[in-house]
Amino acid sequence: MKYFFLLILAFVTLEARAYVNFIGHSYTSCLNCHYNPTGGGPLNDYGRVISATAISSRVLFSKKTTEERLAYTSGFLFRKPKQEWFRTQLNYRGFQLVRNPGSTKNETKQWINMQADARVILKFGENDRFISVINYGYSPLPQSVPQGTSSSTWRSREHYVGFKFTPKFGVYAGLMDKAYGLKVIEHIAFSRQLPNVTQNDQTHGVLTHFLGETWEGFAHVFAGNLSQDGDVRMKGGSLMFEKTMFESHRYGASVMKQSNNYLDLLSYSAHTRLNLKEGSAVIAEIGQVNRKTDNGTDDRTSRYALLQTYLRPVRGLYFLTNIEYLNRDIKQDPYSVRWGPGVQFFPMQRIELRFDMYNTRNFAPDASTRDSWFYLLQTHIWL
Amino acid sequence: MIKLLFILIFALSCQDYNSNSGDKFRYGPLGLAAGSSAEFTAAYVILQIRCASCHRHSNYAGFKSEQAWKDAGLVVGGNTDASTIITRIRNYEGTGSDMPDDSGPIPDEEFAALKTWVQSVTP
Repeated sequence: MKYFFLLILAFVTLEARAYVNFIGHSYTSCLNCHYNPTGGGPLNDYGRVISATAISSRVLFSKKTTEERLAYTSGFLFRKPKQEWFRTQLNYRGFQLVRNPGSTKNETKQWINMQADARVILKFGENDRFISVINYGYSPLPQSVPQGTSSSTWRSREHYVGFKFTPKFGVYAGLMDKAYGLKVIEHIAFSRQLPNVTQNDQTHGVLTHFLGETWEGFAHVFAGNLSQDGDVRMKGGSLMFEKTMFESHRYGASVMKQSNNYLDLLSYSAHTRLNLKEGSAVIAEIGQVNRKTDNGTDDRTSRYALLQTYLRPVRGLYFLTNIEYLNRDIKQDPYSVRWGPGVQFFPMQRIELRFDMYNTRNFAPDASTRDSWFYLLQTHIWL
Repeated sequence: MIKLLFILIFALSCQDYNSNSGDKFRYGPLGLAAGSSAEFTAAYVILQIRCASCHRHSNYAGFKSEQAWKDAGLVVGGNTDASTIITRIRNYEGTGSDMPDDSGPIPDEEFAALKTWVQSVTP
């Protein structure tokens, strides 16, 4: 046991991007496994070991291979770090996107390299009291990118420093995700797109994190992405609060106000993460976004809902269901529902394979439209 | 070391694209060409809401005059059946019209306003 504990302290960082559904493993706070208290980004040493021992399948290993051995071999390039203050990792995620599958006329296939990152973590003090995280790498430029935007395919996804004044209070400063709602991996989710918290919407700011016995609070003040022109930087702040209730279920709420010279957004949501035990979970979020535009062309109030279920029949394997609702303008009747099944499999440490199918149906009182279909075959590798 | 770290932190950002990169084009002053008709002004606003938010690469927001839409091959003056900006919309009773993507048909009054504008454009 002592040896195992030492391993936890010694391993290099790896990436198995933790997901909000991992509350099914009874982890209520993201800070258990991540340097970033809102989750995402590199795992801390404890998170690395949990990823190696509890999350990934051991189907490719013999019964003689101990859990300690699995954890031990999960290090960066299979090596044990030589010091305590420096961690690195490499991370790749790509997927095959197939639109209109099965259609002889409209089916399209496209491989997208979604991210290829190098991460460096400096950490000092007991329990990683001071940390510095840099996450830099390749990022594809969307086809819809507007004129005047940088055409580089390299970006810093996050870079920040953090200091824990006490184990229950920490301050983080730099480029980070905004603290708002459930940080699901699907950046196309309505719950991430409407409040402008997608995969490229990190912001420079200061995040304070409060951790209680059964609750967690975040206060984030931000000035936008400083590499952008000043007139389009979204400046503002957000508050998020979560409370553990009924043993290990989490209930939370968020509010965020942000604006630039042309757009003003007020977003608020409520969410829950339900622990169904042994890795299975249900997560849900409902929210509303009020938007006001400078030229008045797109003033509206939108509502969204998200429901995801994760069932874990065996270690390393998750069956997913995703259901989303969107009403872009609550003054109008049309609304959209997107749903679909998925499978997530960690055949071994360092590899995640995932399949997601999405069907979108639009509902309007006086018209009917064809459903749209697409699916993703995703590969995620970390070293 | 710490100083070097801060230099890295604020120097590394390269790609700056995010959800708000096109806000200036989408939500800034309309800035339409002088003498723009009322029909075009109404249509332009609808096109910004329904189309330009996704068609940023095509710079729909930058088409500030009727001539720009004609030059882009999206509008044939006076002919709605030959104007792509009309025939691609779900409301158009043709085949294969599926815009806006991932959204229902646009309100009928807005579709009517677009057709009214195209019909008013000189060939």
